[in-house]
Amino acid sequence: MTAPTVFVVDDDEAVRQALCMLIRSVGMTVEAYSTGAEFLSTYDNARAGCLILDLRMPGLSGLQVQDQLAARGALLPILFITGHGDVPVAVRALKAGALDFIEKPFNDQDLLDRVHKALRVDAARREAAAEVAGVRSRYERLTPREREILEHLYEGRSNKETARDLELSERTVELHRARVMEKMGAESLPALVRQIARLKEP
Amino acid sequence: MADNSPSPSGLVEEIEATRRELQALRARFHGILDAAVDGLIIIDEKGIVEHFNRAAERIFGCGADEIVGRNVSELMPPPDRDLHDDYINRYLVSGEARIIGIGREVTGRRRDGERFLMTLAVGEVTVDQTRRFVGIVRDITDQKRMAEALRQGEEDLREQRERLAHAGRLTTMGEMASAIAHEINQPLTAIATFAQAGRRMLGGGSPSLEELTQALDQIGRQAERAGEIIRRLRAFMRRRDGRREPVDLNEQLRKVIRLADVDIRHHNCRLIADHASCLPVVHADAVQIQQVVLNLIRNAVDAVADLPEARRVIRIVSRFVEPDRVEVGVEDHGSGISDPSRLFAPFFTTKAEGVGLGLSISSSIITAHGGNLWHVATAGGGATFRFSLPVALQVPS
Repeated sequence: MTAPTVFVVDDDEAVRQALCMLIRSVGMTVEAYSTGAEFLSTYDNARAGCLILDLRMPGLSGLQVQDQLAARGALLPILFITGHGDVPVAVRALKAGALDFIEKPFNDQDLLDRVHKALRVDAARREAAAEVAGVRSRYERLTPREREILEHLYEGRSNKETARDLELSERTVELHRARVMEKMGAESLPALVRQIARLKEP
Repeated sequence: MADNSPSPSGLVEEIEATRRELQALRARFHGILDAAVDGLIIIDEKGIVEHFNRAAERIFGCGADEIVGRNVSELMPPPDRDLHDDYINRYLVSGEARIIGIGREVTGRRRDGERFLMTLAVGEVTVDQTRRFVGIVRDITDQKRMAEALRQGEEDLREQRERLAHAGRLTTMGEMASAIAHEINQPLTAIATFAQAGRRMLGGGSPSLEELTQALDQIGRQAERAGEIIRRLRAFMRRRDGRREPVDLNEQLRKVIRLADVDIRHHNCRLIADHASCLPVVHADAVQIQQVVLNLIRNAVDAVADLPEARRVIRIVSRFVEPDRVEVGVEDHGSGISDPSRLFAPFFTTKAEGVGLGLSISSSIITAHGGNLWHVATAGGGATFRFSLPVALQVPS
């Protein structure tokens, strides 16, 4: 897995350069963009990291960049940098899912702490997403009959009930059940239920 | 000997044929007149109507049978009504045309008494030494109304545009301070961050001299950038100094109230203007005075915005204080000022998003005009801000 990248989007060249230097000074990888459009056209959802985003920019505003990232399902946590008097807008950004905001001029330690936190959040989000993706790909390998059996298991029915519902012998149900557990890589019934529950989360 | 003269019966036939021909001609003539879109009125030398076509009937709401044989002046309101015979006589005597061959806009009178605007063109026809006048009439009421609506629309647009342009110039000190704060914040942020990054590089294992040099260069450049912003601001302030013209404060108050109207209504506030009926003129920079008043009104709106609607009242008072001062007060019934001692100090603010320069700049503007700006508690709670300006000395003309 490649190291996470801190993306910086700010129209002010000096602020942008200063941020890059600060982030590099603690050994992190940084990529900077002067407009939201430029960043959006380059960024690939698969790239891990976090985004430091200026709220006030000509062209696409910070809020618009946030909206577009959300629309394409990007997980990247966003740290907004705001100027004086931007608090109401920053609150709106937070409500729309931004991780945090920090007011200019900022304290370096404060900023770096928030960047570290954002990277941890991103890693956790990606891990959870990868887990769901794994469950989904295993689920997709099940036969229609096995999915039926799985549904009954998930709803807590006994082998006997399942056999009656599906007009199968109890022995057949047991065989299917063993194969479902094996294919889903679940060592126990509770583990299987937990997997399926994650899949069913919105 | 053959008799070549027509037989009596032939003569009768011929007369009959001529009569029919004449009748057909007259019918065709009337048909043509009636087909005209414009009203056609034919009068004789005495102003008596001889012909009145369909369009004329429609325009005047009057049948041909009602007017033919009567004086055309009945279709006019006074004074033309009483003078029309004279108009004709004057023309017949002097030959001096006022309307004939010229045409102009005149007022007509419909049968029911309604007056309306029409264009009237008059031509003259002489047949067998008898002069007749043909009037061609077009009702332009709708045309006028549309032109008027158009003119009004353009007027509104112009006023709106002027107001907008004015509002653009008239940002309050608070807004200006906020914009400046943002401008200066950018280089400050860069300076702080370059310095901190440089410090970290030095603390780390292998500082890059190249990057450190770059950081120091940038710090210098950004400090200059901040200085440039302040220089520009100073130049801007200087340029605004010293413009003095005779100003009617009431008029300025009305202008500002119009500008602040949107803001006031947006917050469901009520504004009571209590202006002195007549104020002596002051010498001032009108735009600066407007800025001060707008700033005071915005403050008042902020002060009452969260109160029950009944208390969201702002009063603007102007009065003449004998012998030589004019005073303006902006009163609110908000929660008042708990610590008035620092009110006019720069960067003192009670607003979450305020910069704290509005009152400070307002005060210096008024002082520069030879006046004073001060605060008193409103009777019954709230804040009142008043400023006074010296009355302009009368210059003997």
